[in-house]
Amino acid sequence: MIARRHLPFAVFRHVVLAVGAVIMLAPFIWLLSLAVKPADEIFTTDIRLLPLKWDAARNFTEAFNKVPLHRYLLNGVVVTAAIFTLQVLVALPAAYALAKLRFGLAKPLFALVLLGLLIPGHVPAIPHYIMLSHAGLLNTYPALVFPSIISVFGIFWIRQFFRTVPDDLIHAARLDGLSEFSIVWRIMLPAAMPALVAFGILSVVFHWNDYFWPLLVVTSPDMAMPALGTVYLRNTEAGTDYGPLMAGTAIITAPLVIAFLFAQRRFIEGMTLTGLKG
Amino acid sequence: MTSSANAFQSGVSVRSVSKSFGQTRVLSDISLEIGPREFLTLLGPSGCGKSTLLRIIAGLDHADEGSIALGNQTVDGLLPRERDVAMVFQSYALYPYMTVAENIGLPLLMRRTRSWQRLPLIRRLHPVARAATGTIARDVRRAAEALQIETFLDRKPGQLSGGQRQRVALARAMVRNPRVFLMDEPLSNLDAKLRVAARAEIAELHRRSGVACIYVTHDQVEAMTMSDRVAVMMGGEVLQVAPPAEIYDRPAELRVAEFVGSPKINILPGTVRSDGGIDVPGGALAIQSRLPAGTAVSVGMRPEHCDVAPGLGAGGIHGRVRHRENLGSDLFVHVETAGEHRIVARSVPEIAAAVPPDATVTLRPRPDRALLFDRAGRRL
Repeated sequence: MIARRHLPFAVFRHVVLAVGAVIMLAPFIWLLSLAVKPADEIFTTDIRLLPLKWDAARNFTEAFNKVPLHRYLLNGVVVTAAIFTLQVLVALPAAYALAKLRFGLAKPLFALVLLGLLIPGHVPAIPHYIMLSHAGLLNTYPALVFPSIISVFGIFWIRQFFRTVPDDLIHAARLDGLSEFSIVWRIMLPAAMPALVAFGILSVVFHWNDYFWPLLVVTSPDMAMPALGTVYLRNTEAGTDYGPLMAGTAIITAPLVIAFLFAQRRFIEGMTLTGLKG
Repeated sequence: MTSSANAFQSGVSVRSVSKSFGQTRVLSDISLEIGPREFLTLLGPSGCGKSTLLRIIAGLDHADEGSIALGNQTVDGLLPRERDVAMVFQSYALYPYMTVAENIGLPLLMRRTRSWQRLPLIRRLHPVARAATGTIARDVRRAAEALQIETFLDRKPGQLSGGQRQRVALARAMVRNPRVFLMDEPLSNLDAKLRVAARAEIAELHRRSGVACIYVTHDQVEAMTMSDRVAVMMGGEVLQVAPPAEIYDRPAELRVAEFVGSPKINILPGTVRSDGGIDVPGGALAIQSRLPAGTAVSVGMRPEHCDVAPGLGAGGIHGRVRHRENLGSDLFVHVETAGEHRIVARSVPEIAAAVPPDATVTLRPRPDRALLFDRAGRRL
């Protein structure tokens, strides 16, 4: 029997995975645990997951009272949505051109895209900052959004996906009277949905959690992104109150976890890049 | 629409078209005239350039040299959508995320509305856009009914069988009355039974539409049964353009003779005798050629033009039976003659018992049907 022969290996595999899962989940579980404990229980020496006295309500209301948490969440939604939308507007036509059009510069341009993948996002941070400063856009939504509009990763990712779309489909569309832009939006966009969902999750997660860039361009608390916002919870004068801090952190993490749970299947679909079946 | 009016006058002219991909020359100096209502088949083995030629006519690919005209209009500078041609692809190329109705209606939608009229809200509210939507729905239904797919209009292509998808692709091509139909092996993804039915159906649709059709295939049966004329292509050249019967009976070249016909034509090397007859391995052909004595020729004989008789008879070609294939209606006898040349002869199953394997037989080719080719393969 195949299953029995592989049983030791299966057990081993699951043990490894389980250890990995525990290591990765532990901080998050600890965060949730602290978020529901009263302050005096947080600093006890004994480790317990569940509190003796539940203090979740106080921690969570405190988190909302101390800082405008809802504002951070709103900023997060607006900025990540704007970034993703604009990234798609740029990446889809670019990916189509690189994957399906034949023109002299296709190869060098694609090489540039690959080169762009190698450059860390922090490298152009100072030039971006100076440009935004000259434009008088610091501490605005555009400052948070503009530097991320062109995602070379997005272009690369969607281009790879577009390569799997049969050429005949594009030929048929051209004969049916579609312009190249119509082909991108009417034919390629629906075909690329799984890849777009996967890219969308990566993009939203990255920018939702981004701490570095908002820290540079945001100067007033009401423009803060979620990750930056939690810092304001810590920096309040009376010293850090860990309960509300953890509660606030849990709140800003929750939307991502929920979104992933909903889109999980499509996300994995996109990751495996199965392409388009005729 | 003006296009349907034009359709009755316009054919397709291919003028000295050449095309290379890098070092490989895929089309060399192709010229073809297709009549306004003609069904022309481009027949050839894979890689002969027939699909490339079709794509050049459609405007999806560009010729290095030469020119394409539809009707009286040269279309070389025009985009595919401006040429008003419709194409059916081997893979059908249906839009997987649209319903059948949307697939068929898309070419109409793109032609009858402006881009701003296709915006989601305007499409419902603007009177012109709404009227267009109505007429499109009507025309889609009419095309779907012609192909008996009106019950599938709300389905996605993924939910259809191969034959149904093929009909959707045909409907999408027909719906807008193009100037010419281009078909790139549209039947090769169907099973054998469906293919026979679809052959007749496409030929009939073509007759009803009265629009020129260029049909690409490697299947000689499709070419023979559907076409007004067949253009046999090989190695990037057109070898012969003629009605199917003529291609079969009077091939211009050895390569055409060998490509068309199943089982393949028998080819024997021969030498012209002084009396005009031709010596071949294992015997002679009693024909009267006017070639000078000693000329080396290739003799082509179709299996159905070779009679088989048991035993060693006078004249004809002698050989030994190596194999028999009884198809019920026909008996194919494989005969090996001197010099290990194989000849396939078609006979009737009744003689099967008389020609067992290893039996000696006499083949008598019909002299009036023998085809002679010179060294270069041209028919004499």
